[in-house]
Amino acid sequence: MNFYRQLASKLVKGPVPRDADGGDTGGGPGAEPPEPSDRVLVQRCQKGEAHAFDALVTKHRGRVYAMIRNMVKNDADAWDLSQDVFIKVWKALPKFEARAQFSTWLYRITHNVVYDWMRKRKLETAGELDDSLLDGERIAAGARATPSQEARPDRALENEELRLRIEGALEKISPEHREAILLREVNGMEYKEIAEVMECSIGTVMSRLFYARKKLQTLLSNGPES
Amino acid sequence: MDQNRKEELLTLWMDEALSPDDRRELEPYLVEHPELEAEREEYLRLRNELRSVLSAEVEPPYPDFFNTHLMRQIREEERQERVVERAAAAGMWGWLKPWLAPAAAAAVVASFIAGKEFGGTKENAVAVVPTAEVAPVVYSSLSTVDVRTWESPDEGVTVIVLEGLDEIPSSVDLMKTTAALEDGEPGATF
Repeated sequence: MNFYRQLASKLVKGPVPRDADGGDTGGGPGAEPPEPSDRVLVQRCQKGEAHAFDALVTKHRGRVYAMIRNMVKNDADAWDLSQDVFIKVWKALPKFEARAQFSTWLYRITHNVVYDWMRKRKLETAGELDDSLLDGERIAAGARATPSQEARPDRALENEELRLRIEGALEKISPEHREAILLREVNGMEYKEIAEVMECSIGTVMSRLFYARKKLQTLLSNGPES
Repeated sequence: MDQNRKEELLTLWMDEALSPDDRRELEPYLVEHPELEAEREEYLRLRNELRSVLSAEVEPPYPDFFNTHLMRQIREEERQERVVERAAAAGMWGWLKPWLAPAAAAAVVASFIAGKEFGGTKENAVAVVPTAEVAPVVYSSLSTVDVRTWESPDEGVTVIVLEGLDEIPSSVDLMKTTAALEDGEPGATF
């Protein structure tokens, strides 16, 4: 299933496309017709329209992939897990109720897939040396955890260092804290939505955010070697 | 103020989401801990950095292939589910299979005994023999016509031979007359 690994190991990746932050939304003078809403697409999917599901995947795959990659820190695993998320979405769509928000529901499935994977991985590597840390082929060529040896302009180098520091700090905090931070700070979700995704109370979300922020600050204030 | 409440209020304060009542509740604590203001400023800077290096949306590599591969996987999963469902359905009645032949044999024997014991005379007893083994009864109201049948059970064919009939005139269109008979037209005869 993880055939992407082989492809990715041979791939020299280009710049990552952005939309909201980078403004690369594909918009322009040739205005395209407005995208159907999630609700409409879901209804069409529930009627068995495969094209609607394809549109739904296209619309949300970027958010799912980004979230998973930020959680698992491996492009190949993120790719495979994103596929698993949408397979589960396909299976569960007939039972999806229109009163729920699709994106929150999707993040909840993503949350479950990632935690199942972490649990499984923890069991597999319990008491053993994690081979993936040594096996170069298992780490995608473009994996961000790999420090680049290339010479870069000063600014790019600074950004790269900052990114590595932040990612390193996020890796050191617990998955629950990391997820809370990502959902809140990167995805801009409300406490209530985060609680729905993480299947916990709003109070727990706030507590996780409180401690996660403190830990991040402590880790990052101690400099790059922390 | 208990710990949980303090965590909640400080989180809201960090997110600039305090209500006026919350702010009044938190104010004494902030006065007591002036270092929190600097921490907050520091975190807001860190939040901007987080947002600048981590994106909420990143297209997966090979986005078109992502969809194609996904649909292929879904079709494969559905195919496997159908196989499992068929196997499960077969399993539900499968336990009956070993019992079917003995049960059928027992039913035939029971019918035979029942007929013999409760059917009255010996002539009547013949009636319990399975009908498939009884030759069809074919007769003619004309005493001059002799009727015989010939069967081939292996081929599933029965031939009825009528001897002593008058010749059919050549003027009769057999195909037309047969069709008229099948349609139930009044007066249609051979």
